[in-house]
Amino acid sequence: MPQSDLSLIYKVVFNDDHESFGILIDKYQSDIHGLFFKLTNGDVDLINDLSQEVFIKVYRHLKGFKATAKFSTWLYKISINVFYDYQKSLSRNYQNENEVSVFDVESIDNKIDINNALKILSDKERIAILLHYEKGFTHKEIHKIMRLPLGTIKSLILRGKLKLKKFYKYEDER
Amino acid sequence: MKTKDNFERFIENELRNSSIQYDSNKFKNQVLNNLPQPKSYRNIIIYFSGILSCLIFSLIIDVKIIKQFISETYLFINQSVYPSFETIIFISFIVFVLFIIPRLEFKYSVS
Repeated sequence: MPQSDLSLIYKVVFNDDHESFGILIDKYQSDIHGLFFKLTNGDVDLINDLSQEVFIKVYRHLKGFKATAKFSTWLYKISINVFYDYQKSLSRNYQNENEVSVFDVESIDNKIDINNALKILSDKERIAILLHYEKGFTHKEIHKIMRLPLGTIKSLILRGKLKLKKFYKYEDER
Repeated sequence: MKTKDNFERFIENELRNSSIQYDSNKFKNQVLNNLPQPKSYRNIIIYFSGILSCLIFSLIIDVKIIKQFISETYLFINQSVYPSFETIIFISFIVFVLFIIPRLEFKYSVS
């Protein structure tokens, strides 16, 4: 019988049970890899490094997890923080290019798939869109994960949606 | 609750269809190997090294002096005879090794 997140967390916190933590990794590694895949444009080594950092941080801070929120919400919050930290370290070394123009994207690959489409969004818009449409989080949960005001989250999603609509040259159905 | 329009459903499908399925034991083992050691295991190492350093310390200074420390501590507890300065230093050292270091280590390495 599959164990609940809370019982696994309990075993990790009170018994230092690495096996239970392994089960949590098995359960969520796809989600975290998938998120970083879309945020980092598919750099495999980077995705592995960031994902590993997330799980190590989760282990270190698991004592501080409050069961008032879902474990997945907390996990994504840590993932987004790890991504922001990575971006900060990147911007210290390079001029950061957050926004890629539609023309740049199309010249890289003519195939307009969703991963290319996501490149036209700013990081915050991309994160909000991914969390809302792919992972199914509500606006309130995204507000907790990204630690931005609820109104900002709504406008990030709306702006992202409009940009994607323009990118796909999508016309509202008849 | 607001219902999703066609474009939102389209984006949702595109994103969910493009999700990668990642299931790697290698990744899991990498993470597990990089986790801090279990607390109890770390504490055993620290207590052991603390006791070992006390033993070495007692061999370097004289066993007689250690006996003196113990008897002075006994007298202090039972008869409230104030111990010598060396005894206070020695007892403080033991207390520091046995109680404070594991706490500091645990505080800064796990949480």
